[in-house]
Amino acid sequence: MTVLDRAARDTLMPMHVLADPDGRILSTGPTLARIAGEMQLAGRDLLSVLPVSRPAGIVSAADLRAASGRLLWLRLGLGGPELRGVVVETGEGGMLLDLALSLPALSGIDALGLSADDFAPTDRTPDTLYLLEAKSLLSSEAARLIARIEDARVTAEAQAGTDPLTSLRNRRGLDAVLARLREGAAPFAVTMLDLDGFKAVNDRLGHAAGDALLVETASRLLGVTRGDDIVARTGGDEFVVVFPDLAARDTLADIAARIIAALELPVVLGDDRARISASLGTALSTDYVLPDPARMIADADRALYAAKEGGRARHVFHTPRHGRSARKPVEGPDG
Amino acid sequence: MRGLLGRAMQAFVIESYGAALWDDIARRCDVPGGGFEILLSYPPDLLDRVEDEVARRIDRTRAEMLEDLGVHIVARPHGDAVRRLLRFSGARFGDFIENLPDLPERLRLAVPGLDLPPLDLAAVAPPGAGWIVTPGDPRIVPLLVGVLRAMADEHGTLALVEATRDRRGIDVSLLCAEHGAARDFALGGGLRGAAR
Repeated sequence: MTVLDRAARDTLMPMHVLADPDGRILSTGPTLARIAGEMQLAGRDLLSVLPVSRPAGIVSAADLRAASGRLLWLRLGLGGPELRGVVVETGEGGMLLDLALSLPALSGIDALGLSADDFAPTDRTPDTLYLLEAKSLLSSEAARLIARIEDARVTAEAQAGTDPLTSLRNRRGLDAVLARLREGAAPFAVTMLDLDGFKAVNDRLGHAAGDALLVETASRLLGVTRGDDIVARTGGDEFVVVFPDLAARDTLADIAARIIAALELPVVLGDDRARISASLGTALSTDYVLPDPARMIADADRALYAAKEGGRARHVFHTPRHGRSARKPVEGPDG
Repeated sequence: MRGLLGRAMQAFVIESYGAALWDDIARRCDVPGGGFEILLSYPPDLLDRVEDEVARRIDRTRAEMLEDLGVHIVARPHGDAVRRLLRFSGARFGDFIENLPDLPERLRLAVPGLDLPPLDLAAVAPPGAGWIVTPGDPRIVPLLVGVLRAMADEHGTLALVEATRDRRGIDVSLLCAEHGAARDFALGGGLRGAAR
């Protein structure tokens, strides 16, 4: 077998190595020389500058010759780029090793300062790089788009759980909070609140005044509850307060009294002053073996109804009929 | 394709005329979310409206605006992803032009859904003096004029790039192949900074 002349080798295989029968490098292609940089290749032992990492056990010129035609993985010097190669025997008993950059090595190819001219015209390495760049462009665009959609989703979700008039949570937002509390081990209380006298203000002063009154009510509720308490507006003049980590009846009764007092302060609506109050009913998670938010709300609502029946401006605790404790029913103080 | 062209127009307006003008154009034309996404498709009439509005606001004809846009796509100072992808089409300007018929398929491989019309190429005698490029859809002639002009600059080549008299093709005359320095283009240079 004859070896192509050097110019032909350099054009077809710009990363080749030609070695003598002992494995000493005779010449290399121009691109391999460029990648090697300062590192002198000619005259050196091929396997010491281009050790074969796979398949294992190729340590001598004879091993290399025996691996003719097989795919080899090599590295150019310490920390150099990973290369794939194939060896063929030449007519003079020498070896011709053709090399290409491995796929992982392409991600660091910019450090090698190569251009399309450094590859054989038939080599698809530049095309591979083109596709890799297109892929990374598209994946960064996809990541950006996903982040933008995720932002929009979070905003939409927050809006879906918010009452636009008062910016309090709506029923949906409340359900999410209760579902979370139900999963937790800590006790909590749910207070239903219905305004007394709201309809009269709405009828007398109009819807705009009614809306202003609801906004003022929301702000007062936030003012007299704790920072971690959750205030929601679930209907026209119906509010719900959730008290995480709280099941002490005396504390809850105090807060209920403060809420009623705060809501009874007159509200200035333009040239008018409105006076309202509120009735409240509370259910405690500790009264249930397995607290179910829907049932707690229904029970708190029943207690609220009892408060209304009892003369309004009052707070009533739900009284478990078959509670796990034999605690005596407690009624809140009158508002 | 539509998202890509829309985004190119958005970048062109923001980088050449300011973000306030773009916000106004996006609002008037009802661009969803105030900006184009490369990966999304948009109704063709939206893009038409935006093209008209951009041209009107920068006081150019639509063809002039599209030429400027073509130049901007290649020569824009920030984010040179498209420029780099185009540079892969040939090591010299002449190679780039000779490879134009492959460009639509190359771009489709890079960006699925990017449907550039076919590009026909005819050489002008004597060999190497110039070419006539004829796209399958004459509407992209002005944009392509801008892109080819900027690619000539990119390669440091002095070339005359003009729409043909019937405005259905592009006349490329090579005046001086190595007129100035080509812009840097190291293979793989777009891979490290790609996450930006």
